[in-house]
Amino acid sequence: MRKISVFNFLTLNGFFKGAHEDISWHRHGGEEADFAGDSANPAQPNALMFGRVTYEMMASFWPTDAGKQMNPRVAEGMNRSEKYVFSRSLASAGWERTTILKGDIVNETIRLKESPGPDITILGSGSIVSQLAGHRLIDSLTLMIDPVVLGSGASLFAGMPGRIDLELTKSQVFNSGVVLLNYSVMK
Amino acid sequence: MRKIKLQVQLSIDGFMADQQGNTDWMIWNYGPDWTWDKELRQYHTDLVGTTDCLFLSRQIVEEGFIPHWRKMANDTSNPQSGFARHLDNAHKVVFSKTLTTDDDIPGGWENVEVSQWDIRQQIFHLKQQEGGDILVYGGASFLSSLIQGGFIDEFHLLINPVALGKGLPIFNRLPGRKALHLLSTKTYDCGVTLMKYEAVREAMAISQAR
Repeated sequence: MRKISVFNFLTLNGFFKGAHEDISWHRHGGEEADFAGDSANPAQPNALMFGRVTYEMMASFWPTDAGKQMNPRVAEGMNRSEKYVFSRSLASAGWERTTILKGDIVNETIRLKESPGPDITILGSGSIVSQLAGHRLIDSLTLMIDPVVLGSGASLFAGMPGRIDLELTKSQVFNSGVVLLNYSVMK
Repeated sequence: MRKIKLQVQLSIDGFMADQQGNTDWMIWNYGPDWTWDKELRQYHTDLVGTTDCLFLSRQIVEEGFIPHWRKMANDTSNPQSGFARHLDNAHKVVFSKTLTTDDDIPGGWENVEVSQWDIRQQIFHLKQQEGGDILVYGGASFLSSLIQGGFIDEFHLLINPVALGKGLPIFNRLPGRKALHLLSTKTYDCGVTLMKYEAVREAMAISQAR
């Protein structure tokens, strides 16, 4: 069975984006870039899963020269990976290897989990994360906690019907003050 | 100079309690059985040992904060009695516009005062005096207002291994973005992660932005 992980950077009060899609608070230092490059694993990338908003933001960046210049390994890994985007409104997707999923999010995810293929990583996409976490379909979380708080923003787990219990599996501190926390989700 | 420190248990998504105010998801819910590992207990005991003054909300006083920790302090067979003794001995300042010392409060008024000033003046007054650090205890509303006012010098965030989805936040009254400086972080065997931050003063914020 394919595993589903969540990779996100968060403010220390749990937001993955501020008002107006603001993610300018995240520190993209050298260590963070190396970690992201290792995680993207361009030689054998995970499949990626998104909601439409995150997908469109990333699709407009990573295939471009700006994306390749910012982090070549991440760009290569993301461009090469199989991509799934949940959207009922998206008619077509220009980013290579993208499948648009129009069915029920939970059912489509269960089907993907049971089909052959690499493990799946969800980036951004708070509404997808909270729905799938609520149905116990997320296996692990990789969270980069920035040393910043925002008064308002979008919480990664907003709308989850109940709580999820976690187990800390690994942690690391970057020189920038970003704290990386890895959790597995208790079933 | 004396520091004002906030130590608070949070979920990974930044809530100090669920929507109904429940905290049963915390590894240690401040109950009689201290379900933290030894190392985390030691950190907590050391932190409380640096204080000789507490800021309390009216609500937490009326809920019985003072007699609870006095009882713990007097129960010397309980490992919590060590830090509870410090809490009991500390001078306590209650912030309330309605409470007076003519009112009854659980535990009584010995070593407890109602602040005669607004919080900014109270802090200015206390920081002029020699003494230990100040710890703040209260509900989400009280803590939010202290954070909003920029009164906290050090944040000790104890992140429990749980995501709640919704609950009571403490940073929600900030108008925009606030950068903090990470002092240290430590993970404990019981599953709690301590992330310790200090407030960034203006000059420092500018140099970091460059």
